[in-house]
Amino acid sequence: MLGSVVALALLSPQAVEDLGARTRAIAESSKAVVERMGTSVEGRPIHVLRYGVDPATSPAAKAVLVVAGIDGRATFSVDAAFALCERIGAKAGETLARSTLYVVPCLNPDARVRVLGGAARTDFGGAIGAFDDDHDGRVDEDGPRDVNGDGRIGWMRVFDPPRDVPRTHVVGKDDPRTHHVAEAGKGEVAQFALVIEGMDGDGDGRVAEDGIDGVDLDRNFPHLWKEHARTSGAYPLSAPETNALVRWMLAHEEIASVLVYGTGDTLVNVPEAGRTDVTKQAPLGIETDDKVWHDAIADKFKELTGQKKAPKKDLSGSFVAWAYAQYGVPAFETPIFVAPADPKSAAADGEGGKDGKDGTEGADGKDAKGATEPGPGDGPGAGPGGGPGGGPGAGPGAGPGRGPGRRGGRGPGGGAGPGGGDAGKPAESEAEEKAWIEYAIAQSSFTPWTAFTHPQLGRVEIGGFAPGARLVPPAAERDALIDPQVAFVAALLEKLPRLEVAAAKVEQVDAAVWRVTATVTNHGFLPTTNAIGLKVRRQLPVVFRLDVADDALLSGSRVQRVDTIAGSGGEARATWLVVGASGSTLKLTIRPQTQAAITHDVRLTEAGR
Amino acid sequence: MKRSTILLGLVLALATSASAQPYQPSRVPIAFDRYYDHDELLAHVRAIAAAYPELVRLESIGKSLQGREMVVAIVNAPKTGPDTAKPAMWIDGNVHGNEIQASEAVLYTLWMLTKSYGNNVDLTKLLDQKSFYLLVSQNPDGRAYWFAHANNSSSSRSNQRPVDDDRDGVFDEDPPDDLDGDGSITQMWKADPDGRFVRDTKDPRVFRRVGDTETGEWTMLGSEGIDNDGDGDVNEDDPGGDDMNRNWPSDWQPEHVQFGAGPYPLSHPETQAVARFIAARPNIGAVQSYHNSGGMILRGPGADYLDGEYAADDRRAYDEIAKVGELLLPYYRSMVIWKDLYTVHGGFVNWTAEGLGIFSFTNEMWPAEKAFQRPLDESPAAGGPGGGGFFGGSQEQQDRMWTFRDRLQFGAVFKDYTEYQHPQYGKVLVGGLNKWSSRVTPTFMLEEECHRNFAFTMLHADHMAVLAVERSQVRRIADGLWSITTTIANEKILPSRSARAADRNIGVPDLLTCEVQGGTVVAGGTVRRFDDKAMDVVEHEPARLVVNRGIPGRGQRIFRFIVRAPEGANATLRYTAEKAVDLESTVELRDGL
Repeated sequence: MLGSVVALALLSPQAVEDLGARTRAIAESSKAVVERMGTSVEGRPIHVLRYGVDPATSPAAKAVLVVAGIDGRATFSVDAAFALCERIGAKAGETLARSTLYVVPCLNPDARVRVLGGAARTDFGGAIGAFDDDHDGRVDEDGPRDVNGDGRIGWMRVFDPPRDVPRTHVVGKDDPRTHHVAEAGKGEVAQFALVIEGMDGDGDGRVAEDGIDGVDLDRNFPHLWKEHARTSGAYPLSAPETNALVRWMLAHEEIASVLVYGTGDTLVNVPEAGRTDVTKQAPLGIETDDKVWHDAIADKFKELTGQKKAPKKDLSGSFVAWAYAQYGVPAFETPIFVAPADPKSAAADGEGGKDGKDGTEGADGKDAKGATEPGPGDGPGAGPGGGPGGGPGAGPGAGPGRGPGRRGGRGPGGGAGPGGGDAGKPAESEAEEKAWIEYAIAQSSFTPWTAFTHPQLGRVEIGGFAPGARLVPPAAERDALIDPQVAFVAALLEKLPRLEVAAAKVEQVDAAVWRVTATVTNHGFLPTTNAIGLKVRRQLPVVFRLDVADDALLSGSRVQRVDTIAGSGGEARATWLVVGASGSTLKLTIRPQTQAAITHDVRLTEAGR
Repeated sequence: MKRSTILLGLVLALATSASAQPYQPSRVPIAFDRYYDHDELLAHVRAIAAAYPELVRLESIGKSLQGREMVVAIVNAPKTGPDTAKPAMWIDGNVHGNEIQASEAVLYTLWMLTKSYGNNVDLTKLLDQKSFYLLVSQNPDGRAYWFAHANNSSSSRSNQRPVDDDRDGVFDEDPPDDLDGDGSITQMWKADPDGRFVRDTKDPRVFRRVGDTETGEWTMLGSEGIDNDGDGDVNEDDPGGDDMNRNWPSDWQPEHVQFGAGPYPLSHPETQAVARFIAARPNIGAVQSYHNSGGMILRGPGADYLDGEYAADDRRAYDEIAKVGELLLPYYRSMVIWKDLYTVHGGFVNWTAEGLGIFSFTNEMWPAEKAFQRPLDESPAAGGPGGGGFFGGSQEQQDRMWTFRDRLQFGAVFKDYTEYQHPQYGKVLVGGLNKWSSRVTPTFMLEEECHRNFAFTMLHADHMAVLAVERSQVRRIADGLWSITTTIANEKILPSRSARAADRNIGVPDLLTCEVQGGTVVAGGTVRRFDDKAMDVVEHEPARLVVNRGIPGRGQRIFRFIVRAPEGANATLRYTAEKAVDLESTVELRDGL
């Protein structure tokens, strides 16, 4: 059932695609309903594709939303979302007869075009906008540039940096291609400053400190948004892309779970439960009572994908953090591709090397350029910008594709690389870093460090990772990475709350007294509203209303609300004791957590109809 | 030279007006002993703009949810430059629809500024230096609803976006109802042998709570209304539900943390329109937002965990202005929002102050002490002046307010209790204080309160930075090598750049550049004392000094450039600041000048 469009997308993509045409073609072949939910800064449409039932006609049905392409460098996330569109029908056709899947294949089309087109700053995956990074009253005046003329913008190890740029890094002991932040506590003496390739173009003593960037869409959401940080945006949802997504979601109350194909991970690294932010009310990770659901779904994910380690990313201002903490539904993120396969051994199934962190957190929105390890090749302002480095199809690939569930977490370096586009965290050990380098060399997305005499800085070495080098799997592995993800989405759809609105039960208590009982049952796995949902109160309760005259109501409020229904057969129930003549009818209205109402006539007879 | 000319002008102006009554008619007569609904307000704004085209330009910034136009009056004296070239003050009010006198205070500001320009020396000078952006109401729909429908003095606070308050899937379906048809939402009381209240024997308008061991005769049923949607609850889903003063980006928190926050920051057309206007004008250096009630001059932060975010330099400037404000505004107290009032997340002035680094105040108009121009309760137990007020108060205080309502307002804010056959509760009494009571400044005192608040904002506006080159000196160091030392001084309280803006890299820092005709700038930096030989030099770009903290309030900075140029060449210094008028001065390179 592998459509030709997908094959094209995964195996021999064009450098610059017509995203709209591709979306339309895939929507047509996969029988999706397409809606344009918004427009990017540069005027490109943002689409959402719908599979399964139409919530307008099935008010009790619940939906999963998958969002990809938030960071332009995560090119594979978009391909994976399209592939999901192609394959989900075959995998989850039955589930989709009673539920809905929405897919936003590319939230950030502008950045995708820029990255695939090899524009000057492909290292920034967000939306471009004027920003005075160095706060000197000049905007974007000192960006990275190709100093050594090799056609790429790489990293520079500056051994004799200017006064305002401190030395921070040392070369790895075993492999001089690696480096890490010097640890004074271990007696390490910093040897060089690590900065993006460029000049001091504005004569302020800093190198390439104010280039073109703008809003990182994955820092522009309201939960834990960092005001005044470099790429957060002027205010939460200031970007038309993020704004459109949130407004669309708020109008779609059927969405019961969210999955992000992104640059971070919350499925292998389950967020910490029970901690709150400065308000002492909003969660930093997840609510304690949600851990059981999150764990169950994460376990399913790990079972299907075989992932044991994945990059950790600060999720402040991210979409996934908002979807959970403020939209109030189970929300998950995976980068899909988490680590290079170990070329030497698939047997050593171990944790990735020793636990020696060698960097500080960069790219948390603060102006961390040059001062901290930006995550080789893909930190803020990082990486070569010349060509579509690390893009699909580049390089010879890394061996045969592997089946689902067999990759990840193998051997040294099999784990926690900083896959994140802006995760900014280096690999946890030199061995892991080495594995990434070997991988990237095979993908033509690592340039060996080469000595160069910089006209302003003197002795430097230029090289390092291409932007997004760790986000894009080798061509031969891509196809095999998709199936476990499709299976996971199918599993997530399967776990959605599934409501059954039963016919009202009428019992005769006396000649003129009746007990009327209405029930909504959740046959799904997840509760209709989880702990964060109960806190956020965005979702409606189940609302029961029996229209009966004041004098006829012996017990029970006319309107009754049940905030959540537990999974696996949990029930919401409303009971009334009413007085009425046999055979008379009452109107029962049930809103199964939606504004759309289901109404029944309840007849006061033993049969209830 | 310049200074003496100004002084002479001043003396002449005073001389001609010394004998005249200090009153200036407006080309647009407006009564300030009454209130105006939103349409009337806007008509006044348009009339003033039409009558004073040389000073006022109107800009439509958008429309409210229900389509009411939001118009900013840009007040500027063009002969001294465009509005954007001067430090500007933003003044608005009425973000809470029921807090109506806030809008009259803004309208009064527009009215006073326009009629005073060219007539009053101080205000003319002020308007030559500063510009103003005035928005009479941030919440036109809430205001319109308050005027057009039955309300009480606290209702219609929200905008009119429907919110399903009772979470039953239906929106705004059970509002209060004006059962007695008096145009206000008053109270309902029911006779109840288990009640906790009795009616005062001397004054039947007053229900008094009985002691814990006593039994009363009446129960308060709440605001006037019936169970419109038949769910068994009364008045549980009224129009709106958002608090637009919780919808701003700085420290915005979701609904479960901050009631009324709205779905996300700037989610409303009204807040979005205001934010766009302000964010696009970095020359705004002062913000005032009017509310009611209680008599407060409030500044941020709104939450305890942000207390450390206001730097000492900024706090000093806030305090200095607020202290004078307390004199101008009797019974107003200078307060910090989270500490002295309550916690606010995502408030408007919190955004302008913390997000944009602008000195911002909120005034809560109408301190109840103004009723008799003295503390409401002067008993020692009440703590003397300032006791009670906004949050209720002692019996003595309440009794005094009845005297005020009876003897100064002539009963106009009270509706007698009448019997009503309520569909849910049976026979009830309906009546009490109407919507013009409590929070609304009594009309006969409105003009004074507007004027005093206007005076406070003029104080604030006046103290936005005014910079001047106080002293410049050229010295010959060697042949063709010169030093230029210059002092840039700020005569006002506010710095040209707030510490907040500097610390958070908000906007563009102040810059001092030096351009030498036929020469180069060799070094640049600052000196502590004018005659110091040694200077603190910048390592890079000596001809372009970034002055991140700006020129401090009532202070100065001394800069020095070392330049190489032939004798007689001109050097031009330019000081640019977002929140002060730019300076330019040219010196000739000759010894001793």
